Amino acid sequence: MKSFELFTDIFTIKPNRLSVIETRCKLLCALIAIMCVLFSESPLFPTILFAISMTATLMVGVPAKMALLRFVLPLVMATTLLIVKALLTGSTPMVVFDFYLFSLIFTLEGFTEGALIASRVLGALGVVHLLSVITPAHDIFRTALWLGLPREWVEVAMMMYRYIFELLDTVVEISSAQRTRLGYSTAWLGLNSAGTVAGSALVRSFDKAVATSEAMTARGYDGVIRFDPPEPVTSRDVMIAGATTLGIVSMFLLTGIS
Amino acid sequence: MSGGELAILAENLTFMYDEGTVALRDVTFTAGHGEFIALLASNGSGKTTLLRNLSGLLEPQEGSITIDGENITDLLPARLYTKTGVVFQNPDDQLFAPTVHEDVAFGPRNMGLAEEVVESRVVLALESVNALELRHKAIQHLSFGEKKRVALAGVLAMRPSILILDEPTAGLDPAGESGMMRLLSRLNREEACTVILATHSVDMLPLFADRIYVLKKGEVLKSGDATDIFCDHEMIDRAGLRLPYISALLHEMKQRDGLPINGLPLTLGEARKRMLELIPEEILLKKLKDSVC
Amino acid sequence: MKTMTQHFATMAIVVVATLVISATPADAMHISEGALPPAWATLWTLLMIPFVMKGVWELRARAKTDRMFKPFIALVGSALFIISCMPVPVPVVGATSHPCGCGLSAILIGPWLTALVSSVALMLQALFLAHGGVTTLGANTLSMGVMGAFAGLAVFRLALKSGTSTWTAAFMAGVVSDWVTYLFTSFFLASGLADGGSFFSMFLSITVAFIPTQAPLGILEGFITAGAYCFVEQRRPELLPVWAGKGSA
Repeated sequence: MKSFELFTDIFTIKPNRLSVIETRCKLLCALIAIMCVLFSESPLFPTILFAISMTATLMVGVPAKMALLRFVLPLVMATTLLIVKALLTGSTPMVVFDFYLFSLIFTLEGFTEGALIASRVLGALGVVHLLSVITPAHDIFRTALWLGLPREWVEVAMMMYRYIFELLDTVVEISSAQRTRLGYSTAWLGLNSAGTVAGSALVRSFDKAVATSEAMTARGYDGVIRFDPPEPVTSRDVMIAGATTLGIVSMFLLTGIS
Repeated sequence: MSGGELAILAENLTFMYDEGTVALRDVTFTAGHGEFIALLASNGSGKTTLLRNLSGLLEPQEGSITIDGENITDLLPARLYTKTGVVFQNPDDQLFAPTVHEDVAFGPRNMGLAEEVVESRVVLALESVNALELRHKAIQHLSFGEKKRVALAGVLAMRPSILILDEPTAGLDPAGESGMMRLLSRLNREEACTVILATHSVDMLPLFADRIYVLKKGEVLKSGDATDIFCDHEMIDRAGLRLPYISALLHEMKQRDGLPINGLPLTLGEARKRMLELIPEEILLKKLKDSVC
Repeated sequence: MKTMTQHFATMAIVVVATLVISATPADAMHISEGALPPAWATLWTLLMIPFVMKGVWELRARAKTDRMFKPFIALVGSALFIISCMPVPVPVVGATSHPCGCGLSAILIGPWLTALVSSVALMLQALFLAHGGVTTLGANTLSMGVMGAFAGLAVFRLALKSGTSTWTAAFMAGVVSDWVTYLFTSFFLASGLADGGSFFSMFLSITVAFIPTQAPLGILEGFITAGAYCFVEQRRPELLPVWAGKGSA
């Protein structure tokens, strides 16, 4: 159930200095930061950004263990990229492994470029993750609507997000009920049980959709879900966004360009 | 009986589900303006089906329903649902929007109201269910009791004159249960809302309900005020229900121990009065004297 | 001194290799934020847009005649999202993995709506699980929600036409959708990594590197897809036409 437990947005509702900043300002800063990371030519800038966003993530109260668990998979990917890059590109041998049949050659250029990509992965993910722990998903989707994304996409996103938590409880209940009755005692049984859980989740989603549609009809649903407009931007938000952007860009100019 | 005087008049309803189950059989149901009515029945007796018929979500095969004198089939959804508000049993089915504020604003916005009016209605509705502080929360962060109250607010924001609630107290803790009943009773008295609710919890009803309908297998076994209903022990048994605990106790004492209790008290207050009548006056006086000393 | 470096490097490789193989590669197969250079990320995002937009139009058109269609798609989307986060036991290894769910989604709600729902699901995963990313959303949606979905659906239909049982058809759809997803992920990943080197050898190496884990995972995905589809078909067959848009609730 690891990924189930990781999927929580409980931090976004904690009031803190970062979560009170208006969503559009936060999104703008995050986008600029990610762009700078992608255009960075040195691993230093993404690494610094990663360190800053991780510190901020921990400071707003995300347990270190959870942050680490969430980063395990991207870390695996970053390492793989580094190795693949070092083995397959570049020309100057850095480390050579001689086996009887073949030899593995890690090149200097490949390693340098690989390290840059790995650092970009961490830097950019650090920023996205920080954004996600200080901004509720519905605020991000509301901004998406404001930015002109199709209404249907936002409606589906908002409702999916709302009902994921709901169905999650159901699925955890069903699979716990299977577990306590030894539904996972062998791999084969486990596969069957998992298929049943998936099927039940689908059936439940249907029944919930029927009930929800009825309840929506009873409140005059006419085919359009109207959301709140984004909160107004205060001059304080603008100042924070401006200062952050300035900070990111000047750091990028100092450390990101070789 | 002319339909014009009644909030809801449903005559001879018969409803059959597609798969052939007959859920309602010749049910006649009336609700006067400002009445507090309870549908009392065990599980699977057709309470929810009746409520769905009354709120226009299901259409009966036979019989007719008029709301404020107008036939339900002639009412456009927009008009029907500003007259009748439906609160569903599972609040999670009803609360689909991402935040409390957006969910409560859903109905008023669908009514085409201006944004300032929507705002004031949302605030008032949340205030009346004591949930204003939850306004900016995401739905998935609410407790079950909070969800129940917010679901009610979402309906109240449309200002219906008739409230239809399916098991409003199911799943609530004791404090939540009595809080919800008192809230409904307040809406009934102060806002002159007609309240129709389905329940199988009998202990609270005598305090609140003006009239009770008992259903069994899709038929109305009996309707009347709490005393009428609960004095018919044979019918209560047949419906798979029970007396309120306090009445059951006094009933037993009357039947088995031969205590001369007047009538059948249904609430704690009444029961206490009847019990005190049985205690000899000198004992009471002595107790009183002791406590003064 | 040289032996020290070698020893250290060998150790590092052993550790990393263990990590790569034992971690849950089905998830690692979402391209992480930051892994694609800006130009490629932009290209894949632009290519994704028409597919998702086609999904949006289909939803809009169907919602006009059936007002309940939006809640249905949103709810089935949440179910698919959860299925894609579900831990599935991997026999022999004893670890758990996650299905991608795109084959199942395609045979239930069709490829275009799958593209729409996948883009939302991937966005949520990027934001709340740090899996995938915002700039890599295009590449991930294309590989999972478009390529995987179309391949799964095509195989499902072909298999049914050739007379196999629904279980087998759904199983094959699951397997193929998973493998195709992984092939295209490798392809997109290679696009970002190959500059300077040969694109093809990069693509091949990434593909080969993940075969030991991804090949069996595709088969697991097949079991889940078949299990879930047949569960619905047996218990509630009336739901299938509603999702497919061939009937209303």
